Amino acid sequence: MSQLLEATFWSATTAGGLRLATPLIYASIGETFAQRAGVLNLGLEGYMIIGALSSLYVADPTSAPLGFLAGGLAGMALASLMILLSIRLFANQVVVGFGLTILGIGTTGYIFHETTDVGGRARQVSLPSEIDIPLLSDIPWLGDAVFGHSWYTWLSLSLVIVAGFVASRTVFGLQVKAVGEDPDAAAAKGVDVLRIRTQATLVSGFLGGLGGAALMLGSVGRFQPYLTANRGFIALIVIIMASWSVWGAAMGAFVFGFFEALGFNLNNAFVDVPIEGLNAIPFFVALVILTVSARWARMPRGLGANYIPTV
Amino acid sequence: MTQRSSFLFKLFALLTLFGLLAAACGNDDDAGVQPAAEPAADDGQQTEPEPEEEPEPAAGENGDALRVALLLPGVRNDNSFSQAAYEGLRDAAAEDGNVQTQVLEEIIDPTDSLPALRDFAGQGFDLILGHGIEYVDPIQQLYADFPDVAFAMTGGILVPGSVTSSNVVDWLYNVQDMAYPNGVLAAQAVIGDTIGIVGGPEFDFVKTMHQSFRDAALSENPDLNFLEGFAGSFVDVQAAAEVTQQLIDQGANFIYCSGDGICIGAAQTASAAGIPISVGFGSQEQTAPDVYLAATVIRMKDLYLDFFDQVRNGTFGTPDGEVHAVGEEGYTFYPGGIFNDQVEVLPVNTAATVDTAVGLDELQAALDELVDSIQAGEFSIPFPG
Amino acid sequence: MADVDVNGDWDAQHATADSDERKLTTSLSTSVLAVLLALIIGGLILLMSGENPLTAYSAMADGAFGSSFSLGETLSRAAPLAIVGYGTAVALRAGLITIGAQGQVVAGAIGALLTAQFFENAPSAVAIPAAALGGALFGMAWVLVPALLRARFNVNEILSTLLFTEFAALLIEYLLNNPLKPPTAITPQSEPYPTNGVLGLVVDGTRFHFGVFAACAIGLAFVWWVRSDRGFSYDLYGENPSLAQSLGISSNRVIINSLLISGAAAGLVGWMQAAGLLQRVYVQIASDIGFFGLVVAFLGGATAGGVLVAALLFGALQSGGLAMQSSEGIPASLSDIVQALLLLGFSIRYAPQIIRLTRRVGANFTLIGKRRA
Repeated sequence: MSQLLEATFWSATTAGGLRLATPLIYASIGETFAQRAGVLNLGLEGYMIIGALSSLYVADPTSAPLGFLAGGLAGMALASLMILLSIRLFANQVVVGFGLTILGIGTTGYIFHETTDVGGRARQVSLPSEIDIPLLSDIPWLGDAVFGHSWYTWLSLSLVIVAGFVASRTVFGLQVKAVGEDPDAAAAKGVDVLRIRTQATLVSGFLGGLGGAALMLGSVGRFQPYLTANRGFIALIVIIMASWSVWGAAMGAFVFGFFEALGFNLNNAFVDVPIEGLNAIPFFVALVILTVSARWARMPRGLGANYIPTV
Repeated sequence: MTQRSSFLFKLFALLTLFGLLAAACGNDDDAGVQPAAEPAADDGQQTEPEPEEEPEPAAGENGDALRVALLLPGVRNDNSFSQAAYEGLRDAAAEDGNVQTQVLEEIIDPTDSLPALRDFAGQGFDLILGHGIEYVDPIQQLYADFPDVAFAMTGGILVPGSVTSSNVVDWLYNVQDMAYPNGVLAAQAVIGDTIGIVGGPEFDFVKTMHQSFRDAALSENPDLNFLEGFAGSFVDVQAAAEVTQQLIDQGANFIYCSGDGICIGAAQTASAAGIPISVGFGSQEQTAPDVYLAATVIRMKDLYLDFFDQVRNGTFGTPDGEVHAVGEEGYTFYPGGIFNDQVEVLPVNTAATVDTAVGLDELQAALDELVDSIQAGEFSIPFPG
Repeated sequence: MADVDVNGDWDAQHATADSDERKLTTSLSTSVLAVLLALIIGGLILLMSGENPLTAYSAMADGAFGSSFSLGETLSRAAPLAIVGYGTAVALRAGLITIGAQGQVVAGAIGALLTAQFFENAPSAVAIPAAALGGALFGMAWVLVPALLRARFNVNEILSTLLFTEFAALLIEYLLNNPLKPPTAITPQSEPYPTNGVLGLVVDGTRFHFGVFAACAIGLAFVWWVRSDRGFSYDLYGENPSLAQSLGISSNRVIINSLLISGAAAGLVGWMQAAGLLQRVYVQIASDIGFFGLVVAFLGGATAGGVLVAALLFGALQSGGLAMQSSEGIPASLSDIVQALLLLGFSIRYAPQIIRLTRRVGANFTLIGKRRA
């Protein structure tokens, strides 16, 4: 109980929240683009886990940055199935999304199963060292909490800035929003709806894959089946919670990670509270945020609906 | 109307096509071998209406080979509970020389375990090893229908309400044996006085292991403090890594992880922080050769060899051939533990470079002493609580 | 309402709704081709993995239809999917996507178990319906908060139901680790389901239990619902909320009732699994029925026949996929790949009602959002 009053408890929880949020930030930002364009990727879990496996299998013999990139490309490869089936062939997005999640989990499980001998060496990388930002890391409380993280976290934070700019200040970002809100009107203005949706889905696949790669290379280092443990679905929660804003998604990911870390940490302080109750905290917080933000939340009007071009 | 009928028509067309295709392949394959439905052994009751697939004799040699099936809740290379059974069967079959094995992995959904077991029983396997509590209920529902098949429930944990009979036996291991040696090791190795304990979900048997670990450590050094954290599942490696990091941040000088895949996360994090770690259910030597010290594992080979013999000479099952429920006299279970080498304390990792309070050889000596005293019958690890 | 012609057939009414000049690219031949392609790709993957695709597929078909046991498996897996599918379809037709069936199945199983334990000494004629009712009520209770939040505060039901699925997963883990666990057990599971509440088998030696017929009853109820006045008005609301409201249909009532119906259906499935198939409550009692039920509802276009066919297809795919593992020794992950490919193959079909369904969900939500803003 008394440790709740200590500053280190909160700095450790904040740092943990940022670590847990890192994969979610990548995945939810990518998915924000797709959903703003009207594409609901329930296959995000699949993109993440295939990104995680691919990044490991490339990083192990080569280097972490190459593996990281490979994770993104693998996510993109799976997302291209979403494009083919849902965007081009008009298959239902929910059905294809679940299909891709199963496909991702099955494929990674199978590759792991076939490439790892029982008792033999499993592919593995060691965890990255923390990059301290000079001066800032020395700030007493904040330094511990915020400024001692791996480059995966730093990259995800810079990505937020870039993605926020792209989403609101570029032609692509505006086109994405247009085809998600009212594809017919966008098409009438000469926007190629299918092309924009394709690009947004590729972004989602790439960043979803990077999210899995960041999880693998940044905090796990070795593969197990079902490794992503529903984090793809948590990214979906984060996006809706954030009302489809890029900045909101990053914030939401951090809030979620923070309360998840808090749940882990409170375990010690409140031994008698069952772990299930503590693990429910981030979901409960999400529900509260969702209820409060519902006042101004606006779902992209074309979300989930396939666009069939007029002849 | 036209919309729906054409849609239904399409789906039915697809289904039919799928069925036809599969049927065509099926005919292809089953041509010739189509055994007639055999008369039921028990006359009338529970006749299997469908022709069971003929067990294919292993070509030429091993025509009388014992056919053994193993069902696992995880993958065979999970570095933990499932892998222990897989290795046990592989080694037992190699030693026996006349056993034909099949392994079915990742059957963890209770909906799937009964049909999977039943399929094996129908295929004419002589011995079916259900290595997980997932298989206890289905075995209870099936055993009477397949009196010629021997079922072993090797989940290791007692499930209330189960019975043993002429073709069902149980295997129960001492959960505390999986944790106690780690506690002895931790108390000796830790520099400082705080030990972090990482678990998966907060199951009673996980908590039992943690308590046994604490009991052992306190018996060596009553001044130790413990921090405890749960990742909430057996698969969420990132959560386990985070829990471990938090325990280390709160001052843990030693990490004990009670088991399964999540210990990868614990070992990686401990390695990055330079904190020693010991593990239940499988080595993490590969993951963290620098900080991993020791682990406990289950060893199934001897038990399986026993089962092979019993099935061959007809002594499998309850000695009196009757049905006995848990708690009754005559409930037939095989106990496993350090005492009979079915729980093994793996040797201390001599390649470890992490600092420990005493030398690695002293740690090894402490573990040897514990194991020796148990095997000599001088000490048995108490069940905590 | 009175001036709206109610002939009850949702499809017939909406058959021309898409009469604008869209390019209908997905024809029957494309659909067939997609499934064939899925089978071929799956076969190639099997071949590359050193398996014989022909024997693998035939094992799959055998496991789905090859014997009375297999048929029973297919039916007892299809029934819960169909029930969840019908419940979800009611919500879908009213323009609501609920992803929460998974949690409602779990809640239903808990409710059924508690009710059955309460009626442990009652005659089966009392205990069985009581437990079914208990399951359905718990399922409804589990969707009540999301329904109220949606109706009152316009809180997105996709997310709130997903969150309640997480809560259900944590709740059942807690209950089975603590109060509902037999005192001597050290792993999470309940006591065996009370015997007076267990659903009997239709065919001995299979798992085809009497609960499967609940799916038929729910299917008939769904047909009735679609043709009823109220069902029609809910459809109308889903299609065009503002028109429906101008006709005096209460938005709150549609939202709450349709979500409660979907919750009750899912809760009933929880009862079926606990009382019929497994006869004990486990943490994984819901398997993935809730999620696949949603897929079934979409794949079936939220129509009575479509959901039934899709549920049977999934039941067959699941029992066949398992048989492929147990009789051919194919790893679970490889079997997942084959099943996922087939699912993706089946997803390729042109069905205007599905496209309309998803379109109405977005439109509906935004309209309400606008009005409140």
